[in-house]
Amino acid sequence: MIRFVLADLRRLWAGSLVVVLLVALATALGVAVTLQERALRLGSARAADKFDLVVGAAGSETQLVLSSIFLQPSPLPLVPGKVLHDLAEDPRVAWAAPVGFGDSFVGHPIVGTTTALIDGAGGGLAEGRAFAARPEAVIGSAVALKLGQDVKPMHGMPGEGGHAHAEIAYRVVGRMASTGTPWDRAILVPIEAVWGIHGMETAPEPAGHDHDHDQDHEAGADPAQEEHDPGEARPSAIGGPWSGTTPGVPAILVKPKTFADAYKLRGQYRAGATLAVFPGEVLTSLYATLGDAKKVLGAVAIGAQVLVAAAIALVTIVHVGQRRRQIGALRALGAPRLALFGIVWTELFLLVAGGVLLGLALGYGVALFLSALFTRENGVVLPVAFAPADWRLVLALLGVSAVLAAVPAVMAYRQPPAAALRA
Amino acid sequence: MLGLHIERLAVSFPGLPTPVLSIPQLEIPPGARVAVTGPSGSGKSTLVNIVTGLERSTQGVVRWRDTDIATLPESKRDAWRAENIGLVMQDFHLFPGLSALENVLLPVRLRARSVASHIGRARELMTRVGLVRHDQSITTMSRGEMQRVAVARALLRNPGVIIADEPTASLDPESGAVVADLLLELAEEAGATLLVVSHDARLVERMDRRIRLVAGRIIAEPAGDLAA
Repeated sequence: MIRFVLADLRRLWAGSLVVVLLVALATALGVAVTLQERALRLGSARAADKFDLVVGAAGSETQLVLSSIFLQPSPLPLVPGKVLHDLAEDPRVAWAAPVGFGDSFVGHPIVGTTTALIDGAGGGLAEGRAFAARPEAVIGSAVALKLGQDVKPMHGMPGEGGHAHAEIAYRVVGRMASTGTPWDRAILVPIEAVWGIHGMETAPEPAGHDHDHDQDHEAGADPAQEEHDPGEARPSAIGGPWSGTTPGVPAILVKPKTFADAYKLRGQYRAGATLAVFPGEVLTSLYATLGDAKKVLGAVAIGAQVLVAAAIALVTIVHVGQRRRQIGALRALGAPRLALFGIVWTELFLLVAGGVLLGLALGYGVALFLSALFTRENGVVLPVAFAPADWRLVLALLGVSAVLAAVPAVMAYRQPPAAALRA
Repeated sequence: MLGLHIERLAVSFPGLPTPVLSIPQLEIPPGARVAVTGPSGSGKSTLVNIVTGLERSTQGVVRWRDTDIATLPESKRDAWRAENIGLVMQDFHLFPGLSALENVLLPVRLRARSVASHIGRARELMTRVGLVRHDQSITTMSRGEMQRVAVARALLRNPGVIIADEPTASLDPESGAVVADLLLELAEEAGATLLVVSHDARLVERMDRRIRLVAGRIIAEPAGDLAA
């Protein structure tokens, strides 16, 4: 029987191919939506995993998290240096690291911070050493630079136009291990250097860093330090300690000592001019939006699948009608009714199941491709993987197609053989 | 070798005032070679459908040897037909995409029987009907060759009855003559009863007995023994 089925499918290969492709595309749509949404959720959650508490100036929580953890360019209001000082001194805090943005290097964000983030945000040092002076940088694993190379910062976020900072060039002294987060694409430099080139060293300037740096530059710098930029080099220590006159920063990443401390700190810094958020919480509300979008896309995918199923049901019913004579002839030659049911059912089920499996592979491929694109753009690794629920869905899909395939099969089964033989 | 006994057979369709086929009595002895003739619409196809069990009569007895197929349920009739009847049809009903040999074996295959034991007989029959390339695709064959494949298929399981419905009608005279010869010879060799529905005078006149149907009734049997 299976030989007859295969011969028949081979004979009708064009129509069969169309059916398989239709089913595959409808399935792939659903699969890709499901996989991609899950990957986005898992990937972003993993990327935010290392960060317990983010403190910034009052404003949008989402923007604070996107900027400070996912390193997405957006201008944030600055939080006064006093807050950084207080947090750093707070006994409930394991470490508190400022993050300062504003510059980039060939698409990589340059993040001004302290060495705490080399372990706190990156994967620790993979080679070289931590930065110990202003014109030094530690790069993420995905930055295509070698130790000893220079980084000339461009003013402006990645993707924006801007002018080059002539005042300073960072020398790469270390590289972090890979983490699968946006920090793999980051270049970490001392926060003091960022303040320096943006002319913010003496006082907090909430207006940010949009002024003319050339004039703001400290002139009386010590010429004795590094050779690249004597004007920038200063003898002062980097990485704190901070004081009330420390310049402002867009965000502070905080590692509280305990869960209880985290909640207390969040409560304390939510009041007034500052904002404290748990990134996980912000992501959860983002996921709710993402979930809505997924529901809409999922409904679209299901609609497409239903349409395809209806089209295929129609085509096969017409097809079985057209083959009444052939079916009758098979009966006349002695084929049992069950064999005819089997032939029609197997043919249709093979096509649909083939389409579903092809669609799975196609959807998986599309999700992998989109995730790879996303990783290249943002550094966030999106893990594309099937979950047990997906297999249940596939089984359900196959179950439905088995039932649908039975409709024309029953028609073939019930067809009176004599009527079929009559010309 | 099966003989046919028909008694009080009447086939009616709803909406038609008279039955399309009405045969009070008909006897065909085992091994007989019988031609059925008559104008189109005279009930020839209905008769073939009834005696092969493709259609079930609601009234009367249709008995092959000791099996009254009029009383068998559908699946039993399918099984009985597969076992006892070799059918040759006007338009062959061979299945494209399968080789000639596969086509000959198809009825066995569809009954989920072991094919291995039939392959030898299938090749023998194909050679007997004059086919050399057993694995040739059906689509590349001439019509005469196709009907010879169908004849081999009909004979595969040594049926007691061979029924041919216009076996030569769609063939040129030469191929038709070859197929007619084969049917007569093979039925003889196998000792099978042969029932042929045909307009082909050259085939009809070679049969032992002729039954003429008009408007669903047997009107005359030129060869003698009346059955009405």
